[in-house]
Amino acid sequence: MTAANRADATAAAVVDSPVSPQVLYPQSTGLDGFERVTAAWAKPRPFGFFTELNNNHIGILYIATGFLFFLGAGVLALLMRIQLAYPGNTFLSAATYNQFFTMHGTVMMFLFAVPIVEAFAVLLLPSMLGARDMPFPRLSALGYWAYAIGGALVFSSLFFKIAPDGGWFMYPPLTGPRFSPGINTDVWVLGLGFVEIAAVAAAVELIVGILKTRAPGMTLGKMPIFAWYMLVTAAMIMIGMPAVIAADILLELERAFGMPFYDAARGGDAILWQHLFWLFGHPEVYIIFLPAAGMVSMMLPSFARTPLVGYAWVALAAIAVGFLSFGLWVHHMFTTGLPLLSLSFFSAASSAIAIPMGIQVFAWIATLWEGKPVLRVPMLFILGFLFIFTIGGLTGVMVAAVPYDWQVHDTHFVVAHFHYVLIGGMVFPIFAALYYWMPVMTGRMLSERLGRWTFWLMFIGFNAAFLPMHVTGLLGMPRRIYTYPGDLGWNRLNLVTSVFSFVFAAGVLVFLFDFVRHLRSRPQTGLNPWEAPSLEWKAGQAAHGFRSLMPIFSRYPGWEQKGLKDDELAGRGYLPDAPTVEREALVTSPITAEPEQIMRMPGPGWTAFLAAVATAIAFAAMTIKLPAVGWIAGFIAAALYLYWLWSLDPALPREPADAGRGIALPLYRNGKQSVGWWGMTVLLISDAVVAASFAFAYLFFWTIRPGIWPPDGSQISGFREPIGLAALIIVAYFFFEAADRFNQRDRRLTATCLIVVALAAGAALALGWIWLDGLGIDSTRHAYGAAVWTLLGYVAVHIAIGAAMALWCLVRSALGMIDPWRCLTLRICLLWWRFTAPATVLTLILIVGFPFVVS
Amino acid sequence: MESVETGPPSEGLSRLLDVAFGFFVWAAHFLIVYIATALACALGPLAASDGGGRAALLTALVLVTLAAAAIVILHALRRYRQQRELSDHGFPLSVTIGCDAIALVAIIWQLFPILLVPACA
Amino acid sequence: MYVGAALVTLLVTVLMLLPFLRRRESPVNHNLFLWGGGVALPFFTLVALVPYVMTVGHETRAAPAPDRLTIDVTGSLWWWEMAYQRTGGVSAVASANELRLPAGEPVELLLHANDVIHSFWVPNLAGKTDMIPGRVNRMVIQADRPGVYRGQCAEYCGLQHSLMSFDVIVLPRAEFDSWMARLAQPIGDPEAPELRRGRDLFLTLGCGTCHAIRGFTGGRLGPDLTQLGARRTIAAGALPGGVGNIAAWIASAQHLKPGNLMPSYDQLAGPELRAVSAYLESLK
Repeated sequence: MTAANRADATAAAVVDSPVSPQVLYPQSTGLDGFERVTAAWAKPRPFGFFTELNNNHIGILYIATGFLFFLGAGVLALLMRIQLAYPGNTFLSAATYNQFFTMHGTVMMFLFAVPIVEAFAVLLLPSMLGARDMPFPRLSALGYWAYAIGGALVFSSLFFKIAPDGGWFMYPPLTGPRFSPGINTDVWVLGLGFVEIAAVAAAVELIVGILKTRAPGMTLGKMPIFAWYMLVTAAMIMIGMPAVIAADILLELERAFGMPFYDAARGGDAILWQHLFWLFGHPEVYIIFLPAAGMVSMMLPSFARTPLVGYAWVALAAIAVGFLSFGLWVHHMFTTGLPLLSLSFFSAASSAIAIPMGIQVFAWIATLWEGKPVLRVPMLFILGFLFIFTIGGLTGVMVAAVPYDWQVHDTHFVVAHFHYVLIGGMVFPIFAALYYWMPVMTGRMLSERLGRWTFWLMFIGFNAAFLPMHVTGLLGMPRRIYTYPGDLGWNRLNLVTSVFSFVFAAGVLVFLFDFVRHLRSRPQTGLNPWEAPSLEWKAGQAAHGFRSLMPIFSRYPGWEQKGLKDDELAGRGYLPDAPTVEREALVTSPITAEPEQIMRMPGPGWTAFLAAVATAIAFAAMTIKLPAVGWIAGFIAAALYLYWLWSLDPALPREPADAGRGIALPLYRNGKQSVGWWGMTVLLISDAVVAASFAFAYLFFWTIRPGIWPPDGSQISGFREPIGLAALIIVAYFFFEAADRFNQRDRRLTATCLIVVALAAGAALALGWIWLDGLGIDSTRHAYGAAVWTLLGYVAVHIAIGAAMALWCLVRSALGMIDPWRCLTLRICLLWWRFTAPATVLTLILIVGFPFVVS
Repeated sequence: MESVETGPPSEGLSRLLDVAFGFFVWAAHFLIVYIATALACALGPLAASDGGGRAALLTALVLVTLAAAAIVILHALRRYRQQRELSDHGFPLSVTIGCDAIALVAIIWQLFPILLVPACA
Repeated sequence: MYVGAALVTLLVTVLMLLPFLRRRESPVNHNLFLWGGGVALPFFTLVALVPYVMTVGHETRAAPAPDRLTIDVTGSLWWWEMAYQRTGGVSAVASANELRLPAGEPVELLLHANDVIHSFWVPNLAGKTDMIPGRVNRMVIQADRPGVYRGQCAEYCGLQHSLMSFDVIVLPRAEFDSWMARLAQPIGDPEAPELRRGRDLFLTLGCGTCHAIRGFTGGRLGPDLTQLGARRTIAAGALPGGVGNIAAWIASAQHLKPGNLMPSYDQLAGPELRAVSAYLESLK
C-alpha cells in the first residue's frame, strides 16, 4: 500500500470514529476549535511588535532588517565608487574610504547576506513543512533582536567615525592592539558577536525544525527541496561559525589582555587568523548561496509548471557542496607562501566543486525544458541569476588555479569575481524571492511592469559595472585602494564602473518605490498567483498558518493532494483545536515523520526581546569602555536568561492528549526524541568546534617553531595534578550519569549524586587553578602560554557551568520539578557533561602529553 | 481507541549521517593528506632536495588516497546490495550512492596535485 | 581559458532561454542534462584543465641556487626597504622604494614584514607574494627585458596602502654591477655651499635619526636616502622625483600622505628648505 493510499485510508477511518472521552484535552473539529486556534495564535496588542514570537512576525522583521542593511551598505558602495571614478579624487579621505569599504563588506556579508537567507527560511520553512512555527520561538526572537540591535549599533559606528577599518576580514597584526589601538576593531568583534549568536540560534532552529517538526507523512524524500538546502546550510553554520567565533575570541583576548596569538614577536602567527577565518569564510559564501539556490529550486516548478527535474540529484548536490566547501579555504591564502603541494590540494578541490554546482544548474535548465515556462518578473531574476552566477563560477575556476591567483588575488579581478557570484548567486534570487513571495508576506502583488524596470536596470547596471572590473584587475589595479595614479590606463574603466553602479542602484530604487506603492492596495487572502505547489501558499495570512496540520505524502502537495485546503480548514488534520488556548505544534520523527509528541509552545512575551536588548547594551557598553553600564546590563541580561531557563521543562500532564485524527500523543518527551535534546546536541557540536579551533591554535604554534616545546621556557612538570583533575571530572561525569539512572528509582540518591558532581567539579576547578598557577606559564609572554590558558579557561568555564547545572537540577528536584517522568532538564544537563568530560580529558592530554611526546 | 505508547523506534542520527558517509571519509582523507604535507614540509627533512624523503611522502599520500577510495566504494556497494530489495527506498539509496560517487571523485581528484606538484616548493 | 568560459556561458544562456522561445513537445531527456551537462561537462573540462594548471607558473618557487643575487625586501608602513646581499662576507647594501635588477637572470627575493602584512607585487614580472611578520617568504623573479616596471603593495596595510608602490628598474648586467658598486660607496662631502648647507641642516634637523645616507647617517626608521636624487618617484610612489617634490614632501608630508610616520617640516624657512632639498636631490 503506498503512502498515499495509507494516508487516505487513515483519513477515512478518522472521520468516522468518535474521539474517546478518556483522552486528555479532546480536540474539536468544529468552529469552536477554530476559534481557540485563532485566539491562541493571535498577535497581542499593543506591544505585539516586540513580544510576538511567531515565525511570520519574526521572519518579516528579519527580512526587512536585512534589506535595510543591504541599502545602507549599498549606499557606502556608491560613495566609494564616486571616490574611484577619477584618479586622485578627494571626495572621501583615506580614513573614511577605509571605513567605508570595511563596513560595506562587513555589513553585506554579516548583516545582510546570511541574515536575509536565514530570514526567508524562518518565514517560509515552517509552512512549507506543513507546520505552524519554528520549534524554539523565543530563540528565534532572541536571535533576531540581537542581530537587529547589534547590527544597528555596528552600523551606527560610521556616524561616529569609529567604524572598523581593517577590511571585512580584518587581518592581524593590522587589527591587533598595536596597529589598531582605537575601538574600531572592537566594534567589529562586537557586531560579529551578535551575528554569531543569531546564526547559531538559527542553525539550531533549522536543524531541529527540519528534522523534528515536519508534517506527518512528509518523509525526508518528500520534503520541499528548500528544506534539504536549509538542512545542509544549517549544518554548515553549525560547523563553520564556531571557527570564526574562536578567531574572534582570540583576537579580543589579544587586544584586551595582551595574549599574543597573532603577534609573531611573541610566538604567535598572523596566518593562524587566516586559517580560522577562512575555515569559516569559505563555507560562509556557500551558506549564503545554498539557501538562494534552494529558493530558486522552489520557484522554478511554479514557472515551468512541472516538478523539479532530478530532486534526488539536487539534494545530493547540496550535501556535496556543503561538505566540499570546507575543503577550499586555503584558496584565499594562495599568496601567503605556504608549500605548493598544500596549496594545490585546495586548488584541486576548488575546481572539483564545480561538479555538484553544475548538477544544480543543469537540473534547473532541464526543469525549464521539461515544462512550459512563463516569463514573469521572478523568472526574469532567475534567468539573470543563472547568467551572472555562471560567469562568476567560471572566473572562480580561473582563480582556483594557483599561478593565476598569484596575479589576480587582491586585485579588482577577484572583486569582480565575487560580486558576480554573490550578486548573481544571492541578490538576484533574493529579488526573485521578494517578487515571488510578496503575496505571502503582505497579501499583495508587486507590479509586473515596474518589476521589469527593476530587473533590467539591475541586470544591465550590474554587468556594465562589474564586467569591466575584470579588466581593471588584470591591468593591475589592487583592491582596497582609495585612489590610483592617472597614468596606468585604469581611468576610463573605473568611470564606467562607477556610472553603471548608479544604474544598478536605480533599479533598487524602483523596487523600493514599487514596494511602498503596493502597500496602498488592499491585501487579499488565499492568493496563489503562481499556482505554486508548495504549502506556504496554503497557509494564508492568519497568524496560525494552518487551522489543522494535514498529513502530506507528496513533494508537490498543492498540485497532487486535492482538497487539501478544505480538509485543513475543516479540522481534518492534526491539532484542529487549541483546547487550553495555547500554541501547539506536532513533533515528528526525523526520517519518516511519524507523529511523536504534541509540543506546547511559548506564546508572546517580553523575555526574548528584553534579553536581547540587555545583552546588546552590555556588550556595547564594554566596547565603548563604559564598564559600569556594561556590568549592570549584564546582570539584567543574566537574570533574564535564568528566568527563561527556569521556565523551561514546565509541569505537563502525563497522559497522552488528543492530537486529532483519532490518535493521542504525549505532551512531553524526556529523551532523544525531544526537541530540547536535539537543540542541545546541535549547540554542543558547535561548542566542540570552538574547542577544536583552540586546540588547532595550540598545535599550529608548535609547527612554527617545532624545535623547543614548550617554547617559553616553562615546563609541564609531572602528571599528578592533571591525572587528579581528569579523575575528578570523570567522577563528576559518572555521578551525573548515575543521577540520571537513579532518578528513575530513588530521588534521594539522585540528590546525593548531584551534590557529588558539584563538589567534584568545584574541587577540579580549585585543583586546576592551583596547578596552573604553579606552572608559572605566562599568558602574555608567548603565544604558547596564551593558548594553554585559553584551552584550560575554556574547559574551566564548561566545568563551572556543569557544576551550576548540577545544583540547578538539585534545586529543581527538591522542588518536585524533576522526577522519573519529568526529567528532560536532567538529561539535557547530562548531555553537557557528556561533552565537557571528554573535552576536559582530551585538553589535558594535549597540554600535558603533547610536550612530553615531542621532546 | 488506543494512544501511541512510546512512539516509533528512534530513527537515529546514524541512519541520517550514513547518507554522507562518503564525505566523512573524504574529510578525514583531506585532513590526513593536508596535515601530513604541512608537517613534512615544516619539520624540515623534506624541505631540502631529499629525493628519498619526498618519494616516501608521496607514496604514503597515494596509498592513503587509494585506501580512502576503497572504503567509499565498499560502502556504496554494501548499501546498494542492502537496499536494492526494499521497495520504498529509492530516494535514500540514490542519495547515498550519489554522495559516495561525488566523494569518490573528490578523493581521487587529489591525485592530481599529489602526482603533479613538487612537494615542498 | 577566456574563450572556454565565454563558450560555457553562451551554452548555459542559450539553453536557459530556449524553453521560452520554442514550445517543446517531445519528452526531455533528463539524463542528458544531469549526466551530460551536470557531470560530464564540468568533469571532462576540469580533467583537461586541472593537470595543466597544476604544472605551470611555478617559476617563483624555483629551488634555491648558490651564487644567485639575493635581495631582502622588507615592507614597512608604508615604504619598502631593499637590501642587496653581496658575496665575500661584505655587508648588504641598502636602498629604498626602488628595486634594481639585472636583466635575464633569476634573482632570489627574501620577503620580510616589519609591522603588518604587506604583499610584494610587480604585475609585469610575476605574481604576488605576501610579506608576513615573523615569516620569510622567498620568491625567484626574473626580468628578461631591461626597462622600468611598477610594483605595488597588494595586501591592505592600513591608511596609506594605496600610496605604497615602488619602481623596478631592470638593467643589463654590466650596468647593474656598476650601479651596485656606486650604491655601496659612502657619499662624499658636497662641494657647492648651498649643498653643504643642506647637508648640515640634514644633521641639525634630526633627519639622520630616521634616514640613512651611506657614510653620513645611519637611521633605519625610514627609507634609506643614499641615492634619493636618482629615484623616479619618492615617498613610495606617492610623488614623482625631483627637487620640487622633495621640497614639497619635506614641508608637507602629512598633507600628501596623511598618517605616514614622517612629520611635516612646515616650520622651515624657504632658503633652508631649498638647501636641504637641493642636497638630497644631489645624492645620486
